[in-house]
Amino acid sequence: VSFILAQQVDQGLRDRLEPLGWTLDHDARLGEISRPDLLARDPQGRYYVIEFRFESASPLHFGRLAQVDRYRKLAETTLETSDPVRAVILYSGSADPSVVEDARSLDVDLVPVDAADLDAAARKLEAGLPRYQATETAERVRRR
Amino acid sequence: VHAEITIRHRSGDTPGLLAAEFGAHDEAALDRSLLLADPLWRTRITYVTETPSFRLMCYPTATTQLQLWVEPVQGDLKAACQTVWDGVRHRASGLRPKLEELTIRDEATGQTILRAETGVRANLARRELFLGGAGALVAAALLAAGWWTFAKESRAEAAIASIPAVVVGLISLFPLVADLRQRRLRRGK
Repeated sequence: VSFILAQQVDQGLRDRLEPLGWTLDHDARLGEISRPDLLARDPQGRYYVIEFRFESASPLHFGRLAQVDRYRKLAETTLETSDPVRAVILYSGSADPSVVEDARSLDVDLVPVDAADLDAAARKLEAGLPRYQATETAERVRRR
Repeated sequence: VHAEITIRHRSGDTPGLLAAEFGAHDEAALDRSLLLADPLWRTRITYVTETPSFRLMCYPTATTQLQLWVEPVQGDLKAACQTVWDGVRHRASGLRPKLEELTIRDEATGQTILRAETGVRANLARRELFLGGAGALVAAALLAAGWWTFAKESRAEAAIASIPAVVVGLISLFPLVADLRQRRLRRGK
């Protein structure tokens, strides 16, 4: 089921974003061996490191935040871009409020995926992940 | 490589119990972590310790859920996970801990290497049980069918003939019962 959900979400991203000029790379390598689930680039040239987490019914583990944050840092040092790289986790199931709070602090966008609305993730990416946009820049600057 | 563990439990002081089992909180151990060296985690991770074989980090979320992170220092990470799980069960037995998820992941590639489970379902899927269990089941089924039909005139002989297979089947269940009692980790789906 998790594999099918991941495939459907992936297809949804392709169908919606690629016609708008996005590039989606499932085989991207960051550094020597690191491979995020998906490296996306929007028409403005901004990169998104995206991790899928559909294989578990358990709440989102905080370790996934650390993982995608590491990918983001790798992307910022290896990709030719002056824009900040966005880190995104598309996940099914629940996330504890403390994990959500830490995602905000780390500037990681958590996008819950509902099997009944598989297109929602693509719509949020298309809209530039507005959920955290107002606060994340200040938070990230503060942390740096 | 590291392990992500999620445990459900009754409300209680889990960091304190972990410290009692695995040693005092050692914040400096976080600096040696590949992924959790970010200053944010220093404020969030309530317990960290390092043993000769693994580093253990504790991130309490809801009051009844504990998220652990285990990194190998030297040796086998799966054995380290078993040690951690045994330690949690031993020290926090009053909180009725229940393993919800355990995955071993490669942080470089992001791939899940192994998913472990406890309980009847995970243990029943063991290959070594199939032969003994299937033999016992077939013998028992034949005996039951023959009791009223083809072996009606020689029930005692039929029962005696089925005893070896049933005994072998029962013996093959011993490790299953032992592992269930000890809640040993098994490879999951």
